[in-house]
Amino acid sequence: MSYLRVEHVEKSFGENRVLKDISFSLPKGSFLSLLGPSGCGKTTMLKIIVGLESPDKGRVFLGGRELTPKPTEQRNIGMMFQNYALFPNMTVARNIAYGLKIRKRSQAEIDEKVDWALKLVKLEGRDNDRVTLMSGGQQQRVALARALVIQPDMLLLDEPLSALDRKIRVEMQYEIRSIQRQVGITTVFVTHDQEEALTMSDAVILMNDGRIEQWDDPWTMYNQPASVFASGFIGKANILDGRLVEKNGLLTVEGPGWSFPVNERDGFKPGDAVTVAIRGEHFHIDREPGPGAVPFKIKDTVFTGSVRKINGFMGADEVQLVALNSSEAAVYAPGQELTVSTRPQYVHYYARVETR
Amino acid sequence: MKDKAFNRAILIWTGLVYAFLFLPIAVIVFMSFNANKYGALPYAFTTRWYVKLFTEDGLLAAAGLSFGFSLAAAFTAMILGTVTALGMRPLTPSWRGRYRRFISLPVVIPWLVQATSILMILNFIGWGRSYIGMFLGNTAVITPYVVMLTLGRFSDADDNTENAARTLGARPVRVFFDVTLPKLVPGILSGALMAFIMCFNSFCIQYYLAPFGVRTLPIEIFTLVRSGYTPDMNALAAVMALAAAGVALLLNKMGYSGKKLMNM
Repeated sequence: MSYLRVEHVEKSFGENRVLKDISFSLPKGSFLSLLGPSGCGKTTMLKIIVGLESPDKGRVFLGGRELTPKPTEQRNIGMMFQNYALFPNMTVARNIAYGLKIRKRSQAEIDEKVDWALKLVKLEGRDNDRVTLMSGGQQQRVALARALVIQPDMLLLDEPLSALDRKIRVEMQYEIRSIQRQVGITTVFVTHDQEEALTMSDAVILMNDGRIEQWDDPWTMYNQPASVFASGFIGKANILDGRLVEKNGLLTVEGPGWSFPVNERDGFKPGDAVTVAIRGEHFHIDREPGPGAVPFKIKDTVFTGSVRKINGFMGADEVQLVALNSSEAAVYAPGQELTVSTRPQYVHYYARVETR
Repeated sequence: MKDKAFNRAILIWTGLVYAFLFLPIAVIVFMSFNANKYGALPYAFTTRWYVKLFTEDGLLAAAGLSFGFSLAAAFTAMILGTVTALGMRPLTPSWRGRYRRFISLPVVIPWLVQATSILMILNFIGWGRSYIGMFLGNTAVITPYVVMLTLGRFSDADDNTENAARTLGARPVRVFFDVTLPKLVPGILSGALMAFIMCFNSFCIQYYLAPFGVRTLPIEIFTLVRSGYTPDMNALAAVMALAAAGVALLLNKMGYSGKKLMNM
C-alpha cells in the first residue's frame, strides 16, 4: 500500500535537466533515503514533494490526495533543513510553538504539545533558551521538535546531519530513527552519505544525474549493486575491465592476469566485454594457493583502525583489498606475494562502460 | 629582537595616526571651556560659551532645524531603501550584484555634481530652491546607504528560515512579518542611522538647495565662520562630537551584534 506516490516527475532549470522521469512510492510509516552525489537531483525531488519547487511534469500524491497543486503552507509536511533554519529571534519554545500558533491552537494545547515535543527530543527544561547559543546537535533537535509538533502527514529531512561532528552525527542518526519509529511518521531523508543511508533506512533510492539508479533495501543495495555506478558509490568496489569466457564448463570473467568464476546473468554470453566490480572485503586472502586463486603482490598497506586496506597488483590491475584488523593482517608487508580468491556471488559484472 | 623593535615602531606610528585624527576634536573640546574669546592662552576655565549657546544663539535653532530635517529625510530613505532592497531580493546573485554596484553610484559621485544637477532639475520644473527640493535632493543621496546595508542582511544563500516557516503553515505575508522583517531590522536601522548622519552633514546639497534665508546647521556654521569665529561654536562642536560618538557606538553595536539586538 503506497502512501507517498511520485509519478513521472520531470524538472529542468534552464537547459539543465535535473529530474528525468522519476517515479517511486513509499508505504506509510517507512523511512526512505534519497542517496546520491551532489547535483543528482535528490534535493530538488524533496523540494517538489514539499512544494518549494514545482515539477515541469508529473504528480505527487500523499495518502491518495494529490499534493502538486497545493502551496507549501497547505501541505502539512514537516521538514528539517541542513542549516537548521531555526528562527533566531525566538526562544526554543517559541520556535517549536510557531506552527501551532499559525494553526491558532489554544495556549493550553500549545503548552502541552511543546512539552511533549521537548521531551521527545530530550530537551526538557530548555524552553527559554536562545537557539543561537545552542550547539549544532541541539539546534537540530529543536528543528526536529518544531517539525513534528504540528503532527505532519510526513517528514522530510534535507541532509540535516551533514553539518555536525561525526560523533554527534552518529548519535543523531540513531535518535532520529528511533523517534521516527516511535511517532510512526513516513519519512524521506536526503543524504550524500551512503553509510548514513544504509544505517537509517527501510529503503534506499540511489540517484545519479536525475535518474533512479537503484531502488532497494539497504542489504540488497550493498550486496547486489545494480550498476557500475552503484557499486562504486555504495562502498568502494574495485572496478575492472574484463571479458566473459567459458572455462571448464564454468562461466568465468577474465582480466589481465586474473580470472574468477561468476554466476550467469540474463543477456550476457561468453565473449562479451564487461566491467567487473568486486568489493575489497569480498576477497579472501590465501596463504596457500588453492583452486581458482589469483596471484597478488602487495604495494602498500594502510591501517585505518578497524580494517587494514591493502593496495596491490592482481595481474596487471591495481586493486584494494580490505582485511579486518587482526594479528594476521598486521604482518602483510609491501612486496609480499599472496594469492586471493572470491566467490561467484561477489563478482558483479555489467555491460562494459568506460569508467577510467 | 628585530621583530620586537619593528612592532614597537609600528605601534608608535599607529599612535601618531590616532593623535592626528583625534587631536583636533580634543583641542576643540578643550577650547570650548576656555574663557579667552580668541582661543588664546593662558587658559581660564569657563562654561559661559555653553550658556551662550543654549540661551542667545541662532546656532541652536539651526541645529534643531537640521536635526528635524535629517530625521524626516532619513525616515523617508529608510522606507524607500528597504522596499528597494526587498525588490532586489528575488534577483539572481549576479544581477543583484549589478544593481548593488549601480545603486552605490550616488555615494561615489561627488555631491557637488549631484547638487548642481538636482538644482537644474528643480529650476526646470519651477520649484527652484525650496524645502521640498532640498528634501528630495537629500533623500536621493542618502537612500543608497539604507539599500546597501539592508542588502547585506540577506547574503546567506543557505538560509532556509522562510521556507521553514512555510512548511509550518505560514502564508507569504505572515512569513514576511514573522521571519523576513526581523532578520532585516538591524540592517535597516543601521542604514537609517547612516543616512541620518550623512544628511546632517551634507552642507553641499543644502547650500545649493535650501530656500534663501533658511539656514540648516552646516549653512549657519559656514556663514558664521566667514564673518568671524566665535567660541560658542567650539561648544556646539563639542556637543555634536559627543552625540556623534554616541551614535557611532550604537551603530557598532547594531553592526556587530545584530543577533543580540534582534532578541531584545
